[in-house]
Amino acid sequence: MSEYTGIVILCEDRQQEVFARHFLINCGVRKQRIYVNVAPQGVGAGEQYVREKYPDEVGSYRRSCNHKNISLVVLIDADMNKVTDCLKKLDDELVKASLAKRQSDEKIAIFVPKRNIETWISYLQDQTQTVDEETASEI
Amino acid sequence: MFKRIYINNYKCLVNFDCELDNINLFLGKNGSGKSTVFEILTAIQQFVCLGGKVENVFKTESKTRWQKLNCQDFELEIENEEGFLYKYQLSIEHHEDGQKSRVKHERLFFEDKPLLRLEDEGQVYLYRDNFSEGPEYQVDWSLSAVGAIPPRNDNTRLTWFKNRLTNFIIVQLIPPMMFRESPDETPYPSEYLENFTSWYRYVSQDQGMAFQLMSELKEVLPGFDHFKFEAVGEKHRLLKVYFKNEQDRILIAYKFYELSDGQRMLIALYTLLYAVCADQNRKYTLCLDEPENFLALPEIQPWLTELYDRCNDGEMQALLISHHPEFINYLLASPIGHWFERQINRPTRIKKMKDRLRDVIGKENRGISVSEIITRGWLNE
Repeated sequence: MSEYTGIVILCEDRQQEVFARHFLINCGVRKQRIYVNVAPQGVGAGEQYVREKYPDEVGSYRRSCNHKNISLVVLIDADMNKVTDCLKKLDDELVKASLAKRQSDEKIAIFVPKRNIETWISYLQDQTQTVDEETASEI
Repeated sequence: MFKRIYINNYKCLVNFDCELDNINLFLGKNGSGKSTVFEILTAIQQFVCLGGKVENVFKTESKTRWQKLNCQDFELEIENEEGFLYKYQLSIEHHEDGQKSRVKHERLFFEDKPLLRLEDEGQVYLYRDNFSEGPEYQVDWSLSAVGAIPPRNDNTRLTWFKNRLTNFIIVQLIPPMMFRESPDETPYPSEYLENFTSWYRYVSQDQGMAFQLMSELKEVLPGFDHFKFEAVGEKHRLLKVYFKNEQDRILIAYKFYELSDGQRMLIALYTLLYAVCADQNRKYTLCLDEPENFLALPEIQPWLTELYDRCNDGEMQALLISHHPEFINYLLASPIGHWFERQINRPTRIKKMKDRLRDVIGKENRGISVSEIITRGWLNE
């Protein structure tokens, strides 16, 4: 990877941050190239934070992606919503900020764990389990 | 893990009580008492582990100015790996008439059962590991009775507590103060890590740790290749740092003191992390006052995530003081912030950061980061 490789993780909470960061490190990304933007605890909902910051991060990505090898990873829990609805909400935030919707050739990955990141972690810890995407898991 | 500290009648800390997690961030305005907590930890460590005399370690002037009380009280609670709790209590009596200060009482408990009691008149009651009564004797009122007990087969709990207290590293790193040469090996980092090279000489005897540290530094410090000590006279050593340019692959050696303050800071911070986690049988509590000083912005978060992971995995414990937005915004995704506040000539009040945020801004997200909320002064009363 070049000196300018960088991945920004935008996420709702610490669980998501640790999960995404270690996932990327295991994929071979150097940890020094990861920058985390995680919602603070006690200041509103994490999901709202991600939706509010998403246009800023997409804007920053688009300003630099032509001359830097950068990408954006977004994590937002689906909770009781459909995954497609969550993706649409994020697109709507871009439109509200007068930005184009996410394009297929952009290095912007959105992970929407359903029901939440704990569901994924719970599955990864025991893959013989049947996944329940409707009930909140606790780690 | 260090679970709790109580302080009464020491500078701005009156009836101060703070419960601690694996990782803790102390926040608040200057003069709100954050560093005073570290000062007391240093004082207790010097008193118990290094044989400091009470009048030298706890100065009479350190009493809270607006109180008339002559006694200062301190309590520490430390949990061992099995989840059992040690409680240490120390009470110091000062005199205004020029008489020397003395230990009023010093007590150590294991799960609320006494291991040692030094009571009024300097009378010590010692207990064995099975809590049966041991010898009673008189001691010098100016020294720690806990500190004076040599390790024995029947006082392993008391010895464990003393060793654990030794494993508190309380430093404020100031690279320009670091000495040029190392006169000897030293197991303890000094207050400002002036003795970095001597301390590194000691910890790098663990070659596995030194190898891992150098591998990490290759990642975080551009061009870094390795360290080497060079003899200067019979005992003195000079730490040399080798850098390699990726293009011509030529190694060039620099003396440690020739590096920039930021480079030395980065090396010292990673060395602290690797050294305290090297021996899994010894748990450390790392207390760092403004560790972000001298670092370049992109260097902060990678070190912080490394620290967070190690604390979260239970390899170590950290108490941090910082005013830096990177620290605040990254760490406050976890409920580990403590907000210190204080009015002029009044005692420090401490609140959990999440509660303080909720008090001030409610549940609504105002779309700004916590560091901005602090910068704007919204958390100040």
